Amino acid sequence: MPRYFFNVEGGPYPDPDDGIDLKGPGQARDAAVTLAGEMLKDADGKFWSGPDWRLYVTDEQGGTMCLLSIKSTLA
Amino acid sequence: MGADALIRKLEQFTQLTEDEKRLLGDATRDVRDYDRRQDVIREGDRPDHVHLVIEGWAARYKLLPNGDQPIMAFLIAGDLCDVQVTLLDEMDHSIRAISPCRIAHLPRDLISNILQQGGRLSRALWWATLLDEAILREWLVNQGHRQADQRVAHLFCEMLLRTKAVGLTEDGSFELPVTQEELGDTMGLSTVQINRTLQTLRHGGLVTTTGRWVVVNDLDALMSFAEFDPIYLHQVNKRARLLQVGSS
Repeated sequence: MPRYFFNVEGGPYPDPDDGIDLKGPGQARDAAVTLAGEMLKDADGKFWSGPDWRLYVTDEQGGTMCLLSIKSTLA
Repeated sequence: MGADALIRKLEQFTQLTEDEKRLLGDATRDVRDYDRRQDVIREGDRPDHVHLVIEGWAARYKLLPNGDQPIMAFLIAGDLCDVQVTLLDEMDHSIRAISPCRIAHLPRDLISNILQQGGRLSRALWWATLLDEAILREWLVNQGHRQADQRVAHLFCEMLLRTKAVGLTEDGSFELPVTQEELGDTMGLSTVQINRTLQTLRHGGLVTTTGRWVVVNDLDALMSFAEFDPIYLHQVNKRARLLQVGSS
């Protein structure tokens, strides 16, 4: 199975990802959305006072295959 | 003897007599091998035996219509899987081996008789059931009210202390024969988040992993991080505590 890397900027996992083996790009994209939701749940209200997050998934060749940009705006 | 871990576990609660130990030893002669992922008992079964883990890890789980298989408990050496079948008509969940396991089949009638006699052994088995409930309560709290990295750290604290109580630890480390997917099924977290969380615990120096072994580098630090209070494991020998109280 191919390996994917879930990189998080601004959020709770600043360290480079060791990667995880998944079935393919579809599962990696689904997993990115789930991970974003899980991170937001744990962040609670702290997200408002911190920087915006970028969650992007890269493959073994280093290519970015999807990006989730999580921004906050206080009206 | 097959009942060694069970006796060691029950003696956290009370000292057993040689006759009681012999009775448990005689009850655990029928030991069978299970492969990883093999079911020991399924939801709806009406078994004639109570199962006792002798070696390896098993898990309580439910199979949901959407294919999810949430895990509600890990069962290790000395853990009785299903004492409830002595009173309940059928299993309301399934149990499967999550590593290669050796599991004793104890005659249901024999366990029923022990429970009906109401003596010390009966109270010890009741204590073990109450302990299972206490652990389940803590798992509910853990899943609903702690952050992902704390949840995993909390489980590691618990499994270190539980494996230690039955002599399975080596220098602050324990074998965790569980995949990241199964950890996710246990914690209510995705496999990717489990993976990231394990990296965080490793990078923070709280644990080291070597193959299937988890090394807890500083138990106090890990307990503090996880907000872990071992009181729910009731590992202090009650008899010893009563003697202490009596002599003071």
